[in-house]
Amino acid sequence: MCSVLLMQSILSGFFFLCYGRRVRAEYLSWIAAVSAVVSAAIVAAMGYYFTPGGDGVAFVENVAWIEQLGVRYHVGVDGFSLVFCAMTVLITCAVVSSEEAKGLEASRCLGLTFLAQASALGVFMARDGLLFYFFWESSLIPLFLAIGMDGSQLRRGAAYKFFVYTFVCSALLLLAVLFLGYKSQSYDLASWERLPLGFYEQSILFWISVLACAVKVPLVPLHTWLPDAHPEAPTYGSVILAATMLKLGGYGFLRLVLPVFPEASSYFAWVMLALALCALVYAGLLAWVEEDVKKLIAYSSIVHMAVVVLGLFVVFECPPAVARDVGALAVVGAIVQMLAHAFSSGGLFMGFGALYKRIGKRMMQDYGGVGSVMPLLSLLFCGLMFNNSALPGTSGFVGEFLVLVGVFHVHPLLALVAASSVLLTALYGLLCVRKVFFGQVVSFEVDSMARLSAREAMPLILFSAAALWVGLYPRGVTTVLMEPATQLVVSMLRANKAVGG
Amino acid sequence: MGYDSLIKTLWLLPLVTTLLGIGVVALQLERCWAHRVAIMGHVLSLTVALGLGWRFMQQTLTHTAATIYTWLSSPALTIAVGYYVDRTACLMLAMVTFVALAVVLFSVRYMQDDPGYRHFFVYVSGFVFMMLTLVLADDLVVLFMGWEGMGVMSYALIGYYLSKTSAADAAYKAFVVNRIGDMGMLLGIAGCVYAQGSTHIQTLLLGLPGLLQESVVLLGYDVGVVPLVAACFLLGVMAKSAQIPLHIWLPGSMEGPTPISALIHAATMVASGVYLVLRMAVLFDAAPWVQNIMALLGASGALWLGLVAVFQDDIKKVAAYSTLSQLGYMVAALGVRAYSLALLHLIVHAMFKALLFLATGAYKTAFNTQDITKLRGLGWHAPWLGLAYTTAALSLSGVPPFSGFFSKEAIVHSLVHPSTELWGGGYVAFCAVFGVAVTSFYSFQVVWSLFARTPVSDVLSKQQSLGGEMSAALIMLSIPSVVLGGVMFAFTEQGGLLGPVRANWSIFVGKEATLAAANAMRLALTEPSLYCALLGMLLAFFYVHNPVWTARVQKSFLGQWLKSGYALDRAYERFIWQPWRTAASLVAYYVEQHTIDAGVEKGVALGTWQVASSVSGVYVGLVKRSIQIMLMAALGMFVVGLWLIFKS
Repeated sequence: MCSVLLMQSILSGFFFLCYGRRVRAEYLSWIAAVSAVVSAAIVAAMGYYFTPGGDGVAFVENVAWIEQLGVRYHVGVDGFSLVFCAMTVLITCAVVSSEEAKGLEASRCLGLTFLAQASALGVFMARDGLLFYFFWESSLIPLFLAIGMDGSQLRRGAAYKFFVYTFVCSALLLLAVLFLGYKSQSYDLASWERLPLGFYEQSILFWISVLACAVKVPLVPLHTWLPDAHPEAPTYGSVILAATMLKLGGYGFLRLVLPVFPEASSYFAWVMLALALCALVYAGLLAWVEEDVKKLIAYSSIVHMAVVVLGLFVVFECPPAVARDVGALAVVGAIVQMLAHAFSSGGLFMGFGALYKRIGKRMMQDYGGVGSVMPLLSLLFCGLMFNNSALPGTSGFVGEFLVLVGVFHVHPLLALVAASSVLLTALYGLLCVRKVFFGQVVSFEVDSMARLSAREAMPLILFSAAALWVGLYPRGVTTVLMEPATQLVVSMLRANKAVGG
Repeated sequence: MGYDSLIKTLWLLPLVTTLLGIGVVALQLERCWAHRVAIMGHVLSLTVALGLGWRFMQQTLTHTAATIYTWLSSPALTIAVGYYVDRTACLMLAMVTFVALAVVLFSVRYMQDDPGYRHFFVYVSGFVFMMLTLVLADDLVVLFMGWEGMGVMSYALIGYYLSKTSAADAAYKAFVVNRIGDMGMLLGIAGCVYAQGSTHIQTLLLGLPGLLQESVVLLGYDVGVVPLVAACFLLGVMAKSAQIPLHIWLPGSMEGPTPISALIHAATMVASGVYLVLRMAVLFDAAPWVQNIMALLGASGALWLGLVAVFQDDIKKVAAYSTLSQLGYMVAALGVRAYSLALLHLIVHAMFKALLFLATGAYKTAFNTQDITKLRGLGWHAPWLGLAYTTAALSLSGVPPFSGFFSKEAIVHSLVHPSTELWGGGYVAFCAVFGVAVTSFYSFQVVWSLFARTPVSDVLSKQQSLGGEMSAALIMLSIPSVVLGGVMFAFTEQGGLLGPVRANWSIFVGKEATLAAANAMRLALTEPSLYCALLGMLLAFFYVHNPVWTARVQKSFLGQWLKSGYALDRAYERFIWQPWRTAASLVAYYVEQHTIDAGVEKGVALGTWQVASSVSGVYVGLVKRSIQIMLMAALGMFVVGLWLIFKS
């Protein structure tokens, strides 16, 4: 099942890249829609027939790949993977349904979207260290191409910066992977979790892996590539970058950093919490004074992903009596926060992309009064902004709230700092809404903008519906996540008890 | 129908109305369908709410509760969407649906020429759904959904005239200020999970005795968990129910259409903070210092924000500051544990304040102005409208036998003679008593001006008719403004309407300040508040009829300062908004651009590049450069890796 999904994504991607231009435009959209729906259907089927084994993994495929090194093609799906796969496929559906994926020029957009989907799915499903690393790195290529080829004026610099940053830091990850493989004579991720590592080894490997993940997430101070990449990226590039690629970082924490280096994670948890709290306030304040809408959404991503990091590391600082239950809840919260962020940032980039396409400007002062010109867009944009600012009843709230519950168990004052994100997101998000959508219509250009077309509205509606669904019925998602989250937390706590006690 | 289906129907009706309204917008049906749907929906809601209340009154049932679906389930925390209805909730439900119906009727004429007519009714129905969610919720998270959902609807409706800059700014300000309160709410809810492992209100309150000893260390001080949680919720109450110093969003919210101000910013949403405290009263009882703060804040608002209303020319602004003052009374009453009196004032206030706002809106429709200087003397030319306004003013001032008298008299009594230990009790009593004089002064300043015998301005020549719906709405609200207070008070004495509300909270039976209706008149003669009200009316008469005084007072520095609401807006702008904006800009420039970005990029990336270039010795292109960097990185990794492997 996993391989079918992967192959289908990869083949679709290469098909659009190689043959997209030879197909007639109207067929292209249909083919893309069919491929996206097939991917979605496969993931849906996976969810429906999801019966995990004892280790919580289902649909396992495990064959030898590079036998000399003990590297195996080992893929499988557990609760975490399932949710992330569903998210990835949803984002592909949104991109495929959008206006950008229409017409002859769309073949590159479609191809890169499917390749990005393939690499993200690969990361989410890999159970082998080297395979994980392979997909992790390959995810750079589609985005590098998207920014570098379809971006705006300064695209080369942005693509270069994006690539170097993420590549250099995740190349270090290879070191960690090779070392772990050498040490355990296997690249099986599950076997790494049982690997007895000395504290110094753990610490060094922990920081190397954290570096790789933190750049992807991104965590302050390694974040500066993101606000540079987004404004130059094309709309679909921004959507995939924000909605899928940043999640790889969070998933890296879940799959690699936390389970494999539990003692180091526990020892340095306070550093991560402090970094995340600083990042949250810092990026929130920067977003508040940002005039470029795409940069604003980028800083908003940093705020939200800081909340994710907070949720992932909270378990180590919780009072021991409740650490298991509350820690699992916070981990679930962090994952739901990633989903929520995918919906809101993806949707916001799509929504703003519609404006950008019309007058080609990114600064807030170039807009104003859009609400009376494009009412549907302003409604959806505003709604996604509310999801972004954790409005109860939307997915943003679920993540934020569960993480906050965890942080409150650590210390109420830390919770106060974490809760300031609620204020900050409203401060910058609604200031953006106020400047772009409210007020007098500033120019003739804005006044003559065409209304939202059906294909422009489609992804926004998709994202809004997803945000509402998760917000009103989070149990659908959290029941899938609760099991593996509890397992993860239990194993981490057990490892720490073995060392500490 | 059983309770269960009645309550579910009531909950869903506004949602269905909203969805139908969206259908009207989407299909661009005739405008009349927008209000037909809304009126129909709200009539049904009101009927169901009254039916529910009626059944509740006839039975000895204290409450009914049920779960609808499980929102979240985990070992640490389970949250279910469900309802909890007691008599307090029944009263709130009836009040909300009643005022909503009046407002919808009123809006048919008021919003007649508005291009967004169809949207407007969707917002109103959506708001009512959110408010009912808040009232019915039995879980704090669900309550918070209603709480914030109302905030969003309020945001949309304050910014309803979205091309108006002032409206856009006011909407932004309202939401952001409310977000400060929402932070408090979130922390409070998280604190409940911390303390009790639950957000279910009844579970929480029942488990309270076991939590009284628990505390956390904050900055070296031992703070009890329960007071901490109560203080967090108080922050939410302060924002939503517009208490000093977070009240600044409410005067700005008057940028929205007047019917909305009547519904959201006078009758229902702003009272939801009070309702929250009523639902969680036991929790607040266990936090005496939080209650003390409530009493002080509320009483301060009652007097000092009422004083601002005296200096407003815009009668809508008068009503807005009056709302702030009356909310102050409610919160102060909560602070001295006079819960059923706060509830009584909440309900009664909703009626007469909605009437006051709608009368203001009717003046706007009839004469296209809300400026008291232009409306001077027009009372005689639109006598029924003048009568409606006067009814509201009398009730607001607390003149017997109007509704406001009963609640306000009792509240002032309980503030002057608090049943609990109260720090600053003298100040609270002072504010409460003089607040009454100020209230009647500003209300009657408008009334006397309306009925002044002076030549009227030219607005009379352009008078518009009000139409049937608008008049119906005014009449509908006038009746309870006159009689509801007395009726509810009578029931209180019999232990009917409000009695069991107290009985549910058995923890504080006997502690609560109550007042029997029979005593109300006797007390009124011995207590200062009625005299204060009459004095205020009298002073207002002389003030209005002496234009020289009026002008002098208005022009004085003090008058100007009070008119601007103590210049608080400017102070917030200068001392909070601007410094933070400046600091953030400086951080963006120096830290972000010139330290982190430049440091990482130039220091690390260019450093690597220079090493790479010097190794290759030739100028290289973009792709080559990156390849070189990769190679360098790989080399470095290889070396470190070897070292690591051999070291282990």
